[in-house]
Amino acid sequence: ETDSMVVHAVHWFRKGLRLHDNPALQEALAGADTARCVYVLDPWFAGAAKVGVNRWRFLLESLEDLDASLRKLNSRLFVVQGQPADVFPRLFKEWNVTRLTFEYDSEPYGKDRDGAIIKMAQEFGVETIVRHSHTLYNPDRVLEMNGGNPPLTFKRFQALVNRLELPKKPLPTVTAEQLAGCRTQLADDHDERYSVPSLEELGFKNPGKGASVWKGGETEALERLGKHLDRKAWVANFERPRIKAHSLFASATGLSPYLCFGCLSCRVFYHHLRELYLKLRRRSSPPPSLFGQLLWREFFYTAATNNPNFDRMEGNPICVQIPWDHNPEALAKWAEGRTGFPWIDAIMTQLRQEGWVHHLARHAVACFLTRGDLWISWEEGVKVFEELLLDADWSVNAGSWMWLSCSSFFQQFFHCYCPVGFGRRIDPNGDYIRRYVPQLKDYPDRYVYEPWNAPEAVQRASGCVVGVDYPKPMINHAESTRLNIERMKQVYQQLSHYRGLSLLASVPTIQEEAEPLLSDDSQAGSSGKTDTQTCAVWGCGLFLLRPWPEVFCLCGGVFLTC
Amino acid sequence: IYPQCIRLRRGSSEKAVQGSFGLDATAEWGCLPQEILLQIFQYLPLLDRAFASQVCKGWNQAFHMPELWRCFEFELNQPASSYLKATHPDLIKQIITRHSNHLQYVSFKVDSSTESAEAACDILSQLVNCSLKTLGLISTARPSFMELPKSHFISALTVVFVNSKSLSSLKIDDTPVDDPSLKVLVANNSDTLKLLKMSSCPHVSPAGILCVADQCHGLRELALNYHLLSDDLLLALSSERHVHLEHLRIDVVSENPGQQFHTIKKSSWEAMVRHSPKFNLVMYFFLYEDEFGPFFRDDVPVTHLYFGRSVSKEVLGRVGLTCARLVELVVCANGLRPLDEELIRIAERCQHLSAIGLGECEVSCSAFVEFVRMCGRRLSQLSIMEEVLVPDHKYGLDDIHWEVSKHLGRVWFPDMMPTW
Repeated sequence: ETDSMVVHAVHWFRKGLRLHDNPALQEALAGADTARCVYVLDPWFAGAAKVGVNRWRFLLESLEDLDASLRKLNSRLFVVQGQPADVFPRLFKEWNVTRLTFEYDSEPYGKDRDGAIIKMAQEFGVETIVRHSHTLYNPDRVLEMNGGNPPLTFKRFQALVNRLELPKKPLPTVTAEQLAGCRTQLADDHDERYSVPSLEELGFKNPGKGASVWKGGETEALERLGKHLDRKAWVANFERPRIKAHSLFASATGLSPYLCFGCLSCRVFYHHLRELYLKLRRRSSPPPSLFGQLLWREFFYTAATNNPNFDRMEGNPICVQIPWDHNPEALAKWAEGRTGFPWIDAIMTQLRQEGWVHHLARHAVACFLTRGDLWISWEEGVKVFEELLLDADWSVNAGSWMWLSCSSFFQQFFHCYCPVGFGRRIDPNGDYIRRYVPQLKDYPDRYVYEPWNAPEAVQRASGCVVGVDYPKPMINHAESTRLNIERMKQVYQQLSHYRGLSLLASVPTIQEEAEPLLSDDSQAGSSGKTDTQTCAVWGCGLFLLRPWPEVFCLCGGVFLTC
Repeated sequence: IYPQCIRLRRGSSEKAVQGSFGLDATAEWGCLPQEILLQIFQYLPLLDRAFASQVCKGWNQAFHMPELWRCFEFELNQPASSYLKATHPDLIKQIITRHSNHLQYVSFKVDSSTESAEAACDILSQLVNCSLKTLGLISTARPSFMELPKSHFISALTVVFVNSKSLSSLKIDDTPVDDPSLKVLVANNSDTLKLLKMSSCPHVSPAGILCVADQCHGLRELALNYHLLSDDLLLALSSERHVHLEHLRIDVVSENPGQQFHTIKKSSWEAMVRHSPKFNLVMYFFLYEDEFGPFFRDDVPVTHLYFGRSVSKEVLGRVGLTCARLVELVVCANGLRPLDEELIRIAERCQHLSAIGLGECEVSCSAFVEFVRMCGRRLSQLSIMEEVLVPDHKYGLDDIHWEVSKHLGRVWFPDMMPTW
């Protein structure tokens, strides 16, 4: 057996922190003589405020879980500190690596980083194998079906993926037999050099003891999946679950952080859900709404994959340029839950303490920060969520913020979430407020959402005087709504050159909805002539009709009519 | 332009030097007639035009041609309060010194800082030689004009009123304009004023705006807050000498919970409709649910109706009974009782309804399909949040869009929100 036949494999974990449904890992193990599983951790990154303690804790717990699972298979996880570009040359030499595997990362930054690593690996004579398993569908495939452009409406996206084959069936978990064939060589000082660091070691002083509400790791993820599917009544009736007050609290069956870190394979989730539905309902095909959560994730990954400016306004071809206000003081009040609106403050407090809030709560605080009340840029919201939210990854976080601030995706902006009324309609008793804004726990239901309207006697009796024990409301909501509706209208009317009186018509409709899908007669009904031109300003390839023959682009770039 | 350029080239000397683009000597470009330069410059954004003006004397002269300075938008932003760029102070100086008498259509876009609002007033006070036709004061974020000392603002504004004498369009929403300054406006521009937008100007009284309506008979578009609306105002706008009003926009805003609002007589509205049968009445409501008492008791000729806060089922029921001219209805929120009957009634009674938007509301799928069937193809805008539709025995969420699409004659889906 010559040296060139020996295979020393390294599997590089980034997301995809699991042993089940991990095709890249399977490729590492196939016919390898030795195999090591590596996670590269940049300690400098922990110091940057960008990623909060709850996200680090979740990551470290997930890595511990991987390490424990690998230990059961006579292997270990190698946590290497440093940056990939520096770490890999060292490892390639030290371990005589011949094969590197990792899961495909569709995000622009990830693609650049991976491109550089692949190139460098080639120089070392290392074969690189990349496999898709973070998304249900390959984003490039969807783009191809849409003429190279990402679909910008969810319905269009759904229509496209409906025509694709079903997502691939997940692969089984890595077994002891597979690993037995490729021994992992462990040094005596493995724990010193390669163990999972603690939060203190990463520089978090007093990270807080006690079990976190969301425990990281594949083991926890799979347990939760089981419980989630056990809620058969929900799946069987399959009604759109209407939100109840208790939905606001962290759920023992919630899965979004595990999908984000890859502790749970989205394909496993998808296929389990599908099989359960078919078993219970005996219908031939589950409705697309069954997979709502998963498909939104796919939508944003697809929209972001070729757009390195996806998380900012300037230079982002799909983002409307809105003259947001620059107000660090107001932003801080929002981020720290000191707005004086208990509903908003409760949500931001839960977010900071636990790392997750319900999607309707996200809508409420996103609207409040941007187009609803404070008129601050969604980019600031992205940064705060990136720090605090367990399931925020680059594509989904930025995309959702653009959607909720009506900065893209052709959203109507007329519906504003009231920071008093919306919460009250979901949770009339105010249990959620009392839990996360404890100063207000003794307030009567009538005033718990708007304590500033309570008579002084009530405030004193409840032990919390507004302006002293709890902040006054930082803005007048009715006044802000009035101003902001005008602002949004001004922006959109300038964009669409619409001069009429209709509020709804100010927002352009995208041609991709009007266009019938190819070979699908039942969906015929386009509204007039169409023509394509590339936007002269950003080359974004979008085109909109308002009305024919005027043509303009979402970014504001103008090109000549034909 | 191209054929003219070709003629120029052919007329040039034989010994022309080849430039870097294979063109003839740059002297030719310098000889382009001013009319051609004007056309080209009109296509260029301001910054590019400014660069071009540095090239040679001829192009510099073209840059300063009056035709290029009729319209200008001053962008006044401070880095501390805005991400946007601002118009360069040197350019502003140049405009004031060389072009103030060319300016006709001017707007100021101001961010939320007081400095920007002050800078706008500063410029306004210097526009002494101007004969403006259009003036717009637009705050892109918070209304910073309101932070200025009132007298400072008024004196700057009256400079324009007094000097222009031919103002046709004036947008001064969210500013501290007052009754005396409106008198000055009227005294100088009553023959020409066609458009006046002054929503949320708290220092103006009903008498102040009445003065405008009495004197400015050419007024076609007016926007103001409800507290300025009076029966007298409507009668003045419908007087014989007055032109047909095109549209009237009214913002109804609650300052404090439990605020009381006055009523407008049905006869005043009727006079308006008789005088201007085609006029559009746009009403935006920002009230608490229990403040709607005086509204929608009698027929009101509203065409575009927006409820920016939660509005009760009962009020929406009254809308169906009193708003026969309704063209667009947009409801931000209603609450958790289905609006089935109210929507059906609106479909029946508002025969001109062509646009509807529902936010945080509830409607049963059957009632919604019936509503769409009754309205049919006249619904060109149908924006319904997905959560609004409540599945029932007849329709589920996954098939309702087919039913609706059938009646509309085009593919329709509800509006969606991400559920991450």
